[in-house]
Amino acid sequence: MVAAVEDLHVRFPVLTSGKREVRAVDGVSFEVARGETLGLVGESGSGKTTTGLALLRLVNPSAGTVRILGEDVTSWPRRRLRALRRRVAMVFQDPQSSLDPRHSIGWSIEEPIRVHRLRDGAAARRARVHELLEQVGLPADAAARHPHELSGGQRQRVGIARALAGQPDLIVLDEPLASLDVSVQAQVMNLLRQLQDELGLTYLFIAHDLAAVAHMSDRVAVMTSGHIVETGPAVQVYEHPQHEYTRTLLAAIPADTPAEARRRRAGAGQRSPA
Amino acid sequence: MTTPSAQFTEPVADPATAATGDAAGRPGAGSARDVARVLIRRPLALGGLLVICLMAVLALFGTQIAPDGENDVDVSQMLAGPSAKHWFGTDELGRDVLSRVIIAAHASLEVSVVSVGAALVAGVLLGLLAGYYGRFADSFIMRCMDVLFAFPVMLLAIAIVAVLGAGISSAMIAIAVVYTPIFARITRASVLSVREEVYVRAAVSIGVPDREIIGRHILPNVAGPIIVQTSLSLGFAILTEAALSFLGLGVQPPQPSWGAMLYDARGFVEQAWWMAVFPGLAIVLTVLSFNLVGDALRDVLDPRRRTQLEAAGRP
Amino acid sequence: MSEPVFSVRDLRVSVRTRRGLASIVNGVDLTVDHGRTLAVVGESGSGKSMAMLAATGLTPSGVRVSGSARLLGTDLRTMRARQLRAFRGRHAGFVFQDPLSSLNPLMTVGRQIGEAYQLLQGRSRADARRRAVELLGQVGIPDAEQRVDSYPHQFSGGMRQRVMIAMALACEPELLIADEATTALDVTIEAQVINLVTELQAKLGTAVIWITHDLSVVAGMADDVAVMYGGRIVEHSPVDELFEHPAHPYTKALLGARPRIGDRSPLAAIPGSPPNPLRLPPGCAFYPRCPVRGDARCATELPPLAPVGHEHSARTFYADVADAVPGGSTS
Repeated sequence: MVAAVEDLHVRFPVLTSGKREVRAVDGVSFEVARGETLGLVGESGSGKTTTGLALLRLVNPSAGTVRILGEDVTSWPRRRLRALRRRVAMVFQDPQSSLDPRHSIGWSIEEPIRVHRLRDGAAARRARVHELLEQVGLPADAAARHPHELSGGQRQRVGIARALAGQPDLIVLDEPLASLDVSVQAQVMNLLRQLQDELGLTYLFIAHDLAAVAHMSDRVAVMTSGHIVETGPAVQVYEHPQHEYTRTLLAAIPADTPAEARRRRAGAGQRSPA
Repeated sequence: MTTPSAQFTEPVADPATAATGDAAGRPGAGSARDVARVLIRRPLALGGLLVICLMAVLALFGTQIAPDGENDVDVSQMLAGPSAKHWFGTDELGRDVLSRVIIAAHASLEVSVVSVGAALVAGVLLGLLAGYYGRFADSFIMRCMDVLFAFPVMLLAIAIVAVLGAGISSAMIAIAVVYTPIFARITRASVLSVREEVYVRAAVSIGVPDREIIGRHILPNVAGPIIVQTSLSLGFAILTEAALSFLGLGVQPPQPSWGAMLYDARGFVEQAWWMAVFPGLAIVLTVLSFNLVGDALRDVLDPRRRTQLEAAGRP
Repeated sequence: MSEPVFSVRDLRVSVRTRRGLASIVNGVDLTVDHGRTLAVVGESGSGKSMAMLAATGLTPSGVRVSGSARLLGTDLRTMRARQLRAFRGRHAGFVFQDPLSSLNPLMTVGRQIGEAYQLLQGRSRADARRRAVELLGQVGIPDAEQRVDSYPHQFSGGMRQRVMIAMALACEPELLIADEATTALDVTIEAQVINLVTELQAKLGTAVIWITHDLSVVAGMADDVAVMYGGRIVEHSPVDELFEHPAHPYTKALLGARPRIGDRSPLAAIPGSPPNPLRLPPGCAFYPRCPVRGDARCATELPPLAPVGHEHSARTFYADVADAVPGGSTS
């Protein structure tokens, strides 16, 4: 088990609108095995992003345990967290805002290498940066450029390269496709799958796009309002959903073709909006 | 399956930002080239920059440039109006006003630069700590700043000088203390917003230690407003120094300062207007120049104002 | 139906930027008829949003627009600002992507919906309020009588988008333009909003232009589709025809690049990135990424929008080439 989460709760105090706290994650348990992709799917407000952040202790659990590589990191003090963050890396949703605009691409990719002292000397670090750029399909001269000079898809590749830098055991991908153009999403999905095959990576793939999650994941956990309502092999969850919510979600996926859309409308009858 | 190719197609200009003229769409952008370009298109700001340079030259080489020494007395020409020999006239002791104005630049600029420099260092440091660490540090630091803010600038400066004794060093300390809060406040405000940026969270997720996050990610991205405030504060500091010297609390005679010259001129305003007008003009010109340059810098360094201006077609 | 509700001819939009002239829209023609939905599909850099903004006079200053845009027979581009605002307000409704920034947080929802109604149709406050309640009901907001006095932040994302739709329809416009209206919404809410628009269209006979990058949305609600790339329309077709017999390589590639549930083989991704409006290639804008690269004629010669079927046209020399999209590209 690379990651094991047990009865995780994350609560945020709220000062407005009468409520005292928001329960973003309200009792969530799952495991991620080495080499697999666990898809965490849900709509906005489901708590899926918060769950991902909790694995890196970017938010602090209010209750429950988070185990990474067998170690209980739930209450680790700040100074130990650096070690955790080498083992677990994150790819963020918006590649434009997740890269510091003031630094070059090479500098951003090199940052984890520097912080964790993974290479000796500037030359060795630079070589590693070039190696990473090549792995994600970017040319070596990209290292000297700044984020604004690259396209969205290229920036996301940089985000992936940066996540790979420390050779992490687990990569948490938080909506990595949401800010990308449709034609570029396919490129990035292919790249992620390929890297997983080549490097034996383990992914927690968080997204609201059901089709993308189906494509990327071995197993899927469906989340809503801070709870996981269903977990299982991807094929099974999509073809034989057990939980009411999963069924609702799947039913809402737009049809692939107009013919299919008409079939559905004829079958279901026009429902008035709720 | 194909291996990732090393293809690097043309960088894309996001059409949303292309419409507003900045194909980059990056926050807080402002290279030296951008600054130069903006200044060239704004004659006023450029003029301001030239005046500042001129004043800097006077501050450094005033004693060599001035026709007379600051205390050279021409007894035959006391209270004489502007003439070929004395372009700015003479004061009640027969001293050449032009020479004194030139030499006084040193005191004014020295006080301004040193005190604002100190305020900058102290204020930015405090603002970074308050903004980044929040909670107790933030409350404590900002309440201290609020206390300083509560006092009118002059009152506080006078109080400090009263404790430390009149003199140029006291004036510098007083001005530094009085101007620290604005830097702290501006820095803190910028830090609060930059702190929420995803790239800061990404740095945390990598495991970058706090001091490096502050130094390498936050500070470079908050530099813009700080630089703008610096140029504005330099101007105000000159005014404050002039006021302190006017009250006899700053630069002490016989060292000339524009403020002190105004003080000396107050009894002769009717008979010898040149004694007050020329030092006054020097103050106005310098402060105005700092403000013009500061405004131009703000337009370069504040990303939102830039896109607004470029959309409106202004440089 | 004689005259189309909205027709655009040879629309061109460009912006002079620091780095040169950005050609965002390069000759777009399209029409929408009464009661029909036209989907305009494209990615970033396609010019789809800018084209509609320019056609209706909503572009920021500094943007150069040419061409004609006739709404109910009147050319919007020749109207003066005040006239345009009144005419457009009366006959066209807009729904944008982010309802949070499109709604005034300090004004109640009822006042915002009623605003256009009051100003453009000269009705009283009371009438406007009644109309707002009526509209809120039509867009499916429960307790409309109470909710009409709520503020935007008191609604959820999907509800806010419904409010936007209500605002857009307040004056019963003949044309509704929705720009990525459901992109930011969850899939269940998106389905509801699309249903809503379809129902309202059936009831009011509004012509709808639906701008999106999501082909699945198009499948469910469009009558006709215009695919845009590099500021031009590269394919125009009735929706069934587009999905069954796409003609342009870009359309085929877009359709092929979608992940399909149940199929985990590598996706047929399109290599490269969308074109840079500052540096458009002389010929077909899709050439650098095109899987079909016949005799390189397209590199220098711009293919005309030529008919390839019944009411179906495509801007390519290779409409007949069978699907030649490579498998598993990651570049």
